[in-house]
Amino acid sequence: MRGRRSILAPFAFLFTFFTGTAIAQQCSHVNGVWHDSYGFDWYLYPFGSQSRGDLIQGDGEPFTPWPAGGLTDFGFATLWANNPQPSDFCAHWVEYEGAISRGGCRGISGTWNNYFGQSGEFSMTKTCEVPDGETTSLSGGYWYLNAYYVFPVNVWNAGAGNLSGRYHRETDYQPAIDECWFETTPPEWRVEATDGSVWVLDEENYFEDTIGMGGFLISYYRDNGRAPCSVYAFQRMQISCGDHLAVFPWQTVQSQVLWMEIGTTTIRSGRGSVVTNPHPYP
Amino acid sequence: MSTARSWVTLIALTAATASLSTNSRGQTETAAVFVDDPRPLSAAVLSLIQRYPITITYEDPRYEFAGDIRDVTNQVRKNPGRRVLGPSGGVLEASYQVSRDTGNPVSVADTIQRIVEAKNLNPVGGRFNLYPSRDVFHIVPTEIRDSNGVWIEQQSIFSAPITFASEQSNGYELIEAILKQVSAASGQEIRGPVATRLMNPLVRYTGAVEARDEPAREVLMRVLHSISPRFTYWVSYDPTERNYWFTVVQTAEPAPPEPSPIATPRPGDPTPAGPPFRPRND
Repeated sequence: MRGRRSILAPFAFLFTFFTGTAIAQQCSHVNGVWHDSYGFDWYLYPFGSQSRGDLIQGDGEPFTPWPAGGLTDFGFATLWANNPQPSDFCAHWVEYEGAISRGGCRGISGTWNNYFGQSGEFSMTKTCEVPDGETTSLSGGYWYLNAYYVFPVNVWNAGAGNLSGRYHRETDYQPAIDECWFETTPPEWRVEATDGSVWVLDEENYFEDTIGMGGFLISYYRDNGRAPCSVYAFQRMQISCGDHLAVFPWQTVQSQVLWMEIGTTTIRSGRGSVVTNPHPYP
Repeated sequence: MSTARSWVTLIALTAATASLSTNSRGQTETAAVFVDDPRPLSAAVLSLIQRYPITITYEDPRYEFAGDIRDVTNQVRKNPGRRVLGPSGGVLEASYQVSRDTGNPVSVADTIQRIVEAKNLNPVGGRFNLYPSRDVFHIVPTEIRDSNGVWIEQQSIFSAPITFASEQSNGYELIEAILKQVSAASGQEIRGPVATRLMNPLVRYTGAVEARDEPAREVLMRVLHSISPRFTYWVSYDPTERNYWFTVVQTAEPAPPEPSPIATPRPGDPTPAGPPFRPRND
């Protein structure tokens, strides 16, 4: 399998989590408009591997924008702003440091400190960044165990770069249709839904979706006179817009039909409009 | 088996027919299970794990007696071929108490025990026992009628101790390797793992497993829970081919935690340090 497949990471605080040797993907940037717990807004835009912009007071007294910047490093965010008119009554600079929550990558909690040597706690959130859709490819895909097709999928995020650290999941927009299953088939084999799994996107906005019935079921349904038959699952891909403690709410990125066909000598898999050629099995 | 028998499995975990009662453990309501299925116990407990976040494993007995098997060739096959045999099955009815506060069974162990006992009232398809092991409930066969109709003891094939050490592998390969050990230890052919829509989390996981003279079911559950705490297994016996099929199944997602307020300052709150830009007066 490809190395970049192993991208699961623990939900340290959540109802669903994965363990094992998967490598955690961290939130990759602090671009966006952040609103902090003191009523200040941080407008940060891509600037190389960091972010640059302005700190602006959300409401209240007049406030000259402060040049600001930010970066992330292994799940921690650092934001800073410099006072363009420093005085004895207003800090020359302020720095915020805190953990950026994975999931939605839109919540930071931590400690600030300033020119006067003071410090305190803060939290901040930003509007959720929802990608525009996905691109499924045949190119670069492959048959795994000769029975499942591994579709390469790129999440299309034209707006703001990579989505590393963002939780992604599949859910269903209607129950699956399993034309292969019959009454005395074990009940656990009936495909009623997608698996509903959650994983973490990597810095390439890439993941792989493995679709197929598997060799055992292909043989079982053929041997019992069911082929040709198909299974349809109705997949809705969603991305987390959670801020701090929760990965929800989820926002839909794209919906599509997953298709698995068992023919008498060949099999096929499909994801949306991308369908494999008939593949000889066994 | 009557040909007029319903082909549809009906699970009625009733809200509509629930009878409300109050007892010392708080308000509860009665939920009912009604199943008419070739594998009634399997179908009943499968519905349970699909509804509640509880981990149950299930294992079929080896069907040998003609009264436990029926020929479904004419109903199933689309084309001529070998006979298709399935379990005869039957009806299972049980009830259990659900907490109105949590929506979950008041006692998971009692709920499963009631369902197992309800199955054991009908001799068709064998008799079962429930073995709790830490947070997992194992349902295993204990007695089945042999080809002459005589009741005989039957042990779970996953009670067999195995000694095993694997290389780093994905989740699918790890389980496949363990099943080969169980086949060798029990002398029974086991096909699998069947995963279908759970292939994504299986192949995304990478890990290794080691066991020394440990019951196979414990080793399997350790691996499955390393991949996902929602994973468990189902084992069905195919009377046509006289072999076992091992399937990875997923339990219900636990309810999300109640959102908790973020314990950080909000705009306007008094804080020891005050807003980050002003010098303190002290």
